[in-house]
Amino acid sequence: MKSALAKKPEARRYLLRIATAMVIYLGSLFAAEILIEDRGLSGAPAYVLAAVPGLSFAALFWIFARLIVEERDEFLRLLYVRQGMVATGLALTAAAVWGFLETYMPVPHVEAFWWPTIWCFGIGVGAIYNKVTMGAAGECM
Amino acid sequence: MKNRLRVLRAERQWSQQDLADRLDVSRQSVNAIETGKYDPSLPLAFRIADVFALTIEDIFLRDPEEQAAQ
Repeated sequence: MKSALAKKPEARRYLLRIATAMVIYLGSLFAAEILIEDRGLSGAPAYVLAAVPGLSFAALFWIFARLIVEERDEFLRLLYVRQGMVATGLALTAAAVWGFLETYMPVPHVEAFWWPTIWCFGIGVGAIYNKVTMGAAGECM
Repeated sequence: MKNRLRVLRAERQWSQQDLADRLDVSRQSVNAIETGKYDPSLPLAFRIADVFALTIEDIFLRDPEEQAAQ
């Protein structure tokens, strides 16, 4: 069965934007690995290239915000907002707890780019939370 | 807030999807409103009332507890 998300124009735009951001993310990651790690690119171009994969996450947050703004169905809009709140709570809590653990305890260092990755995971957790409490997942995964 | 959406829909032999299409919302929205998990905004409540050719008060009923508290 085709998802309702895939039929609506705002949902199609969301999926297209996500796909574009993922292409930029993977492309820039691949380029950084080759040009900086393998070929020793340095200076300003290396800094710019190293920042691009991280900036792809900015695109992700913008895309999610646009989905909320463009969604015409008020109930789905509520579900998306709840998903975002669950994801933000999870990611920031995980970052804070691990930060203090690293400060006071001998735990391994976690690279900062994992926190927005946990936010994306949190969107999925938010969908489960919506399904359990509101009877609908929100369709935004 | 309680509502008579399920009864009104059954009287017209509409599925949740039929009503959702008439309201231009998702089937999940209709289900959430029917089951009392979500109270619609005033504009959507007016649209629901228009679809059934009734007033908002004919469809949505205040909770007795809520009314008693006022």
